[in-house]
Amino acid sequence: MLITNADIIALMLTVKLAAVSTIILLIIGLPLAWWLARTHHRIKSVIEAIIALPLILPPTVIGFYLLLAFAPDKILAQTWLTVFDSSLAFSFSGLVIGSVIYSLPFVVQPMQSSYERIPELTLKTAASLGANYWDRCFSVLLPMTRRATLAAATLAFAHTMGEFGIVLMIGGNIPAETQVVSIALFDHVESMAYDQAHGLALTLLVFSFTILLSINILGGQSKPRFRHASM
Amino acid sequence: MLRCDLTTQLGDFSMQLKFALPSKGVTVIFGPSGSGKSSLLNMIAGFDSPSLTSTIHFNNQIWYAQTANGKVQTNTPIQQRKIAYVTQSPCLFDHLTIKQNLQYAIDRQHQKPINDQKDYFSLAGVSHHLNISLLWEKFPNQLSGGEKQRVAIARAIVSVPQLMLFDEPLNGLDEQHREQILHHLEQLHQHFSVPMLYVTHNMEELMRLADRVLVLQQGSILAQKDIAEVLSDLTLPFSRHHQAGAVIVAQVHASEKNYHLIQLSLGDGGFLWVNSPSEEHFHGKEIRLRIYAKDVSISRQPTVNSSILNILPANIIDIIGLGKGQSIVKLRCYQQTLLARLTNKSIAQLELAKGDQIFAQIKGIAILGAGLQ
Repeated sequence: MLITNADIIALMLTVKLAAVSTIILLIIGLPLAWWLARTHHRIKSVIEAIIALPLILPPTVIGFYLLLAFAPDKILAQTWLTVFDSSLAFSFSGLVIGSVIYSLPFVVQPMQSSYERIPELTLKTAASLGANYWDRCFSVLLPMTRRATLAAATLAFAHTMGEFGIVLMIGGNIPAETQVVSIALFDHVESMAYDQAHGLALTLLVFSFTILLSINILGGQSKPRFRHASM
Repeated sequence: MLRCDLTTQLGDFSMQLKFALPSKGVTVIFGPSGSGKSSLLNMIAGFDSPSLTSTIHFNNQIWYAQTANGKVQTNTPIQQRKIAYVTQSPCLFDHLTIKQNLQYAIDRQHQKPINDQKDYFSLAGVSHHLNISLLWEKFPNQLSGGEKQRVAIARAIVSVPQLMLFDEPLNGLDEQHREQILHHLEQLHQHFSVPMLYVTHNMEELMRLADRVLVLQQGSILAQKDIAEVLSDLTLPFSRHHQAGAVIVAQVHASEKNYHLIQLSLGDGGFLWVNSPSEEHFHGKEIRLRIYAKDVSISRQPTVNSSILNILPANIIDIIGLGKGQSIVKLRCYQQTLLARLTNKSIAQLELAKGDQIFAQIKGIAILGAGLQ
């Protein structure tokens, strides 16, 4: 079993991709989930279906359409080029966009059902005690759904770590830019370097198990957590 | 002054109310379920909005204004109405301890409590009064229903609102918890000058807390009167209730300490003797009394050598039959109104009729607000 410098670079890049994607996912996903939890708008079902698509579509399908959208003659790619002076295809930014779309249901769906369980009356009571909109978000809504948020973020992070199909389509295989662990592993297998493949595979296996274990512990710990809290 | 002119339509239910209430004392909103009591409170709190032309004013603030063409001109957000609303479910914040729940309200206090009430509105003060000091470090999910409701009331108090709203806060609690909280609410009424609106359909709560009553029926106002008037109005359902009676507010005139008796003035030189376990009743103090209709009997002559202390001259104002051989007799006794429940046979034998001068014998009087002292 062997882990090379290139593998470590791929690992670091994957963690960075997962971290950046998770932060963006929370920024986009939490308000979106909150809106879906409270709205009665007709468009709600359409949005819900679009968000759920990555659960069903093969990642290569999403990757294919993103690849088309990232082509230099398309509006998205051109706008990106004007604003950030860089191209989207085969870039880290492109991977982040792909990952965010790919992992969005893993944040939005659990958060939406978590927000739906918060009684409207509790939030209105907070308002009657003098809390304005943002105060209610930070003093009631976020703390009350803290565990769900943590679980959703962890899941999004882990899911991005294991991404393969989209990266394969839009990322290419550029070390330190788009070569993530799953791609590097695929490379090792293709070139029959099984020792190196073992090293990466085992690292990812242990990592994923740790994450799932921590989600389970977080999820099943409601009462003891309350007892330990103090002023 | 709270002025409401509300029109709303919720499916089959429509509501049209217009009333003004003074900014002090307890107004009980009374009515059967489905009469619109909770909807009214929700609209005053800003939890709901009326659907048609409506205005809500509190003192010099406009809380809600919707014009005839359906345009909502003003809808003051809940947090700017400076109210406290205790609903049937306590709505405590599950992620905070009891102490933190109270601190949440203190951190966002609507106004500074006036100096001599500072203690009552402090964390320690309110916890002492509502007997929740021992619960401080607990979380809401570790509390019983009655404990949660006491914390919810305490949290509402320490927010120092300009108007307090209660929506059947004692629903679903057992007798012991009801009595405890009712006692606290009576104390609150005595200590604290903030106006309160209290929704209930319970006769006991009505008699003990109300200064005035707004009676609702199917989304409109059936009556708006002082508690004494509403209880003795023979056209309203209260006089037919098995707990029917009179509530009297009277001043202490004298006392006989060795007998634990106080003498209360009924006006026009009439007095009432009441047994009082407390010795805090100084001259001039206002005391709230309840006299059940079943505890008042009538005689043509003043009974002599009776054990009954209070035998007072009175006039019969009205008599209505309750069915099943009983009637309610409305009496004027000095400046007060009393009810007496008599059998139809007694009425026939004494030949009682409207306008008759008779003597009322009062067998039982309860001082309200003294509660658990």
